[in-house]
Amino acid sequence: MENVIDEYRCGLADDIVSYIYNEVEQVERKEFETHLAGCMSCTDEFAAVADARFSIFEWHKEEFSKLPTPVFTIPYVEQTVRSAGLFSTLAVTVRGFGWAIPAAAIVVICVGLTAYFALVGDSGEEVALTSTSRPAIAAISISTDERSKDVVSSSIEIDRAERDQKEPPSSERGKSRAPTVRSFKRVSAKGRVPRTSKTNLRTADKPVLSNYKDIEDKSLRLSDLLDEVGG
Amino acid sequence: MGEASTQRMLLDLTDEQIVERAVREDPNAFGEIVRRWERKIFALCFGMLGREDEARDAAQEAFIAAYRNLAGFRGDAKVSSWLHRIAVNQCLTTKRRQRSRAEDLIDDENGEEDRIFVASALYSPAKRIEKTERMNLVRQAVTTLPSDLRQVIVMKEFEEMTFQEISDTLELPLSTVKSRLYTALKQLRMKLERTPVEVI
Repeated sequence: MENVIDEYRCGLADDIVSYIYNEVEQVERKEFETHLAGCMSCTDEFAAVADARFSIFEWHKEEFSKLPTPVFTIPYVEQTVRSAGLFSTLAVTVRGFGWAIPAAAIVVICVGLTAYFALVGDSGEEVALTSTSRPAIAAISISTDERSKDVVSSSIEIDRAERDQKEPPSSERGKSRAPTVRSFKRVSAKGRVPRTSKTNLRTADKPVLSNYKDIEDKSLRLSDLLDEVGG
Repeated sequence: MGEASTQRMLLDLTDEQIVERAVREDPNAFGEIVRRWERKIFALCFGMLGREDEARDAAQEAFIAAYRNLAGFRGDAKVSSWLHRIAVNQCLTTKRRQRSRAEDLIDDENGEEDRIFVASALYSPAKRIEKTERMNLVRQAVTTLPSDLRQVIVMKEFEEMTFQEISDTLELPLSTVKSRLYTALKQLRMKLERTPVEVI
């Protein structure tokens, strides 16, 4: 078999290619065909180029035309989130947390209401902490120092009023008495203390203590010690 | 001399020697010429006519014409060139026949659709093996082409883009696109010629 390609001298390479791929005008086609019929060199060159072209054509038809078109999957969701900005990212994050956000909102509302009533609500009342108000308990347990101070100072005033009722004020001796620190204890659901009308603990109005169950507190009190010392 | 031994003997002869033998004593020797060149002549006809059925008919008639004119082969050109000339003339005759037929009938407006190549279902097992080997060779040859040449081949043969579309896409002059395609096809042919496919 011949394996040496003679050098093509006619210089009609572009015309050969155009003719093989049928991209030639009618007039140029006739001119080329006329030349081809009379030029051995162009005929051989045309045959060589046509043979190579046919090999590729055959390869394409045999191997590629039978292949099914692959299905390409585009991750449109990720692209959308990425391209939409912070707001969309937040929206996706919120959707991801599901139920946790409404639950957290309810907790926040409960805490807020409890704190509000603690500040503005009944005076001298012991807050009854029940099992149903555990979130409130947790919230109150982490209350601020100011809140705790208010409770303590309120209890101090209650104690003073109570003492004044029992014995003549020893404050006439000019001595200041140490305030009694009342300890708050958890009350069970049974011992839940009904609230009376809301009173401000800071006011001079005396709370109605008889409405509350008296829990005997046997712990040593500072006031007792000071009383003994003071005589 | 048996037929098998005759066939083996013809394999060792050149094209010119076979034609001489066919003219002098053994017309059947021309069968070896057909076997050697049928694919290339068919490719030439397909390149000129663009239709597989017309190319097959034209190639058939070209070989018949060559066989009838064996005595007219003077040996001043290669057998392949002689066959090419006959095939080109046959294709031009086919085109003239089509044009004259088209003047009487309604023109067929299929255009490029007529260039669909329908693979023959009549291949023998040997032919199929030969074809598979050739496909492997073509694949290897195309993948080893320089990237700028391979690019044009792929765009023309696989994307079926026109020269103008390739020119616009690659931002190259039209003549550059054509010359690159020509160079690619020539290099491809050289690669395929270096490793011929053996016919079993």
